[in-house]
Amino acid sequence: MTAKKILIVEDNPALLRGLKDNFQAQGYQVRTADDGEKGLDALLRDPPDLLLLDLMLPKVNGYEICRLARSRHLNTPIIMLSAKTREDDVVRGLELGADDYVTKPFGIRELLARAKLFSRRGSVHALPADSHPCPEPKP
Amino acid sequence: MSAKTILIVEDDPVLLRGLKDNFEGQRYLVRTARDGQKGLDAVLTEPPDLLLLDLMLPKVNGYEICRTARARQLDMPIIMLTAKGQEDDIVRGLELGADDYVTKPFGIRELLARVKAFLRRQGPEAAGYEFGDCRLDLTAHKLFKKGIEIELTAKEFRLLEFFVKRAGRALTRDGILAAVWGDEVIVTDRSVDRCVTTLRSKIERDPRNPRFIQTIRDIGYRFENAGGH
Repeated sequence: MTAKKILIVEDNPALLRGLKDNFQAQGYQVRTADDGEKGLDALLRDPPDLLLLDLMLPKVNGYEICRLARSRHLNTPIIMLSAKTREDDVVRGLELGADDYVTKPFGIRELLARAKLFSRRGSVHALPADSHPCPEPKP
Repeated sequence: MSAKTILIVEDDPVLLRGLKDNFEGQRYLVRTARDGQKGLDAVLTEPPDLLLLDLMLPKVNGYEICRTARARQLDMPIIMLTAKGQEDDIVRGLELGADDYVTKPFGIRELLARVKAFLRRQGPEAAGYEFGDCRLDLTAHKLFKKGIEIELTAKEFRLLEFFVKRAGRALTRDGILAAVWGDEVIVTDRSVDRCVTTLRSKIERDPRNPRFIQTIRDIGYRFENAGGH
């Protein structure tokens, strides 16, 4: 199976390094960015299978990256990572298009388990709602 | 678009009532169960679009419900609700098949937002399903075989829709009756068998040797769509 590609956007170098090491050890192909602008470029140029996104980033913040990604119809799963623990912050992140919101400090095993979920999801056989599954009946 | 169905399994009546009111306020169709056995029955009989699942439940606990649901290949999002907030508990829940794990006490707005995020990712209901030469168009409420419309009664359509949405799963006659016939009074297991027979005559190339609607002796039926799209 092809390794899952993950993009980690985080400006704390120690945390970024720790996350990178842990996800690589689990077999992920990891790319990183240490500010919001680089993160957004990397996301749009080559969308990963999963985005780990810090919120408080230099240049472009995580909310904005999430909003831009969804406005461009990128459906990459996004897990927001943030020290902002207020309910308003969590709700804002999820409503902007994040799929999950994990508050710092977090346990790496929990984060790995949450990331793993996104490779498990999917659907088969169903035809998308905007498709035209049925041919016109013959006269 | 039809409202999404949420099943809430929670033994605390006050919390259950609050959750039900809040989700109904957001226009979800809410079903509830107050113990694990009733919750498990409800999950298996008529899988909801999303399951909110307490962990510490009478009779059958939430871990077991989650494990059983996944073992039956039910793939609805499951959000566990629990006071057990240790990382080991969270990882255990997620590895057993839960999609999210929310620790009590939680804010209702956060929970509503998490549910919405899952259902958004799930997307709108499929417009149709394909199997063999057939296409079931849920929007137009029609069945086509090799491009030609096949007449179905309302009951046959509901039964076929019930089957295709649960392809690969063993479905009991009781479960089929409850989901497709609902509260109709004069129905028996034989009603399911008769409807299956007519459906087979319409979709199967050889109804006596069916490819799609397989009989499971003493249990019910399983819709098979291997290789189909």
